[in-house]
Amino acid sequence: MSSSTLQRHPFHLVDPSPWPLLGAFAALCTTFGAVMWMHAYQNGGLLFSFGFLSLLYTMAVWWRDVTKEATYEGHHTKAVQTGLRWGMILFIVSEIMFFFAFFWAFFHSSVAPAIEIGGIWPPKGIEVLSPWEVPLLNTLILLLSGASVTWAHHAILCGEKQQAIISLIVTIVLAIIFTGLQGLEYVEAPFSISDGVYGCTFFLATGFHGFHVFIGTCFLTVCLFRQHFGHFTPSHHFGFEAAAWYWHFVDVVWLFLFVSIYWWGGQ
Amino acid sequence: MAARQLGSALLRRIASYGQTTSGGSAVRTFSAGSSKGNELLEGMEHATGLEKAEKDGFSKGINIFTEGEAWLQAPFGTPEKPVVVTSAFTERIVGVTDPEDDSIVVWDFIRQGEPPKQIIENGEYFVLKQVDNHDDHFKPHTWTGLDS
Repeated sequence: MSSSTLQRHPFHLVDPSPWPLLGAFAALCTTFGAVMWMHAYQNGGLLFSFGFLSLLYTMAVWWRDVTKEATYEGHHTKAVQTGLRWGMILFIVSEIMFFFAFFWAFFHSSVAPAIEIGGIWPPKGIEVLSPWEVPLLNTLILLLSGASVTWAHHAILCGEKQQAIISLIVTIVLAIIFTGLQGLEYVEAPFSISDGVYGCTFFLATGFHGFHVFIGTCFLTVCLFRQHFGHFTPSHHFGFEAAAWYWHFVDVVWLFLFVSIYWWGGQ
Repeated sequence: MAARQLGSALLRRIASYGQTTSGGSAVRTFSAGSSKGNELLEGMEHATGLEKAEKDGFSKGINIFTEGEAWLQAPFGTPEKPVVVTSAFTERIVGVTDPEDDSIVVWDFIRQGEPPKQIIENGEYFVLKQVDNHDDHFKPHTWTGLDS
């Protein structure tokens, strides 16, 4: 590269891409399709499926492009990485606000229980799950996965590729076990999402947490493959760091869920 | 039995992990040029494009995005001997630091044919010199470490 043609700033001016347009179109189809489906319109489910699959496709190809730009085209300078860091921080802050709303709904309903639910929490007639069985086990599993993802980070920092792969596999397996146990818990729960405000707030908060665990598992799995293909170096591995941040966030949300909804809210 | 062997092998790896970390940390910091920094060199070879240029510059203690900018080296511009700003065009934007607040840069146009121009009070004077060759235009900013 000649010095006279070298880019004179460290920022990445991205090439035109079709993915924002396709993503917006897919989101439109997904929301319209979902509403039509829920209101029993003809072909609502079809439109929803098409929109959702398009959305998944957009996510895959857009992030594939980001990976290419970072790993094969060298666009992610230190300044670009700083921008990505801020982006991920702001995203996680928005996620905190998302869960804050569910906790607000839970505490609104539980701290001063309405007379319609017997003036008590848990509501009269609701048989709650014991926090000291599967939820405690899940707490330990998630905490352990938080440790193993830190192990993976240290392995990447030290250039220990094999250890990074082993520790990422450990983290992903723990995540899958968590999701499996949570699924069993849901199947065996003595209340449902339609059982008044308890079931509503319980399944909304823990369900969205479970969904985030699934997203985090996908994110870590992508990192496992990228680690396998040698994308991460000791000095440049922000894709992994973002996944680790996200995973710790999911972990912390679970701790609040466990303490608030399962433990305090179950007494 | 196989599971136990696998478990003990994994435990041994974990036990030796800390030693590897502490023993290897000196050569794994971001300081290129060390012949022992194999992991880092691997990272350096892995990098490409602008990221590689940035890293190469960093290993030489240079910020390639600011290195060699003419205004840093130019002598103080007076009305008699102003700073000559080269440009491929008939005007160029020049910025000077506000003496009362060095976080502020005051920008102004320097145009060809105009007398020496002062951008801030008690500041330097500038004139524009149009150059035909684009390479000359870039010359004050040239950092030769990237030529290949």
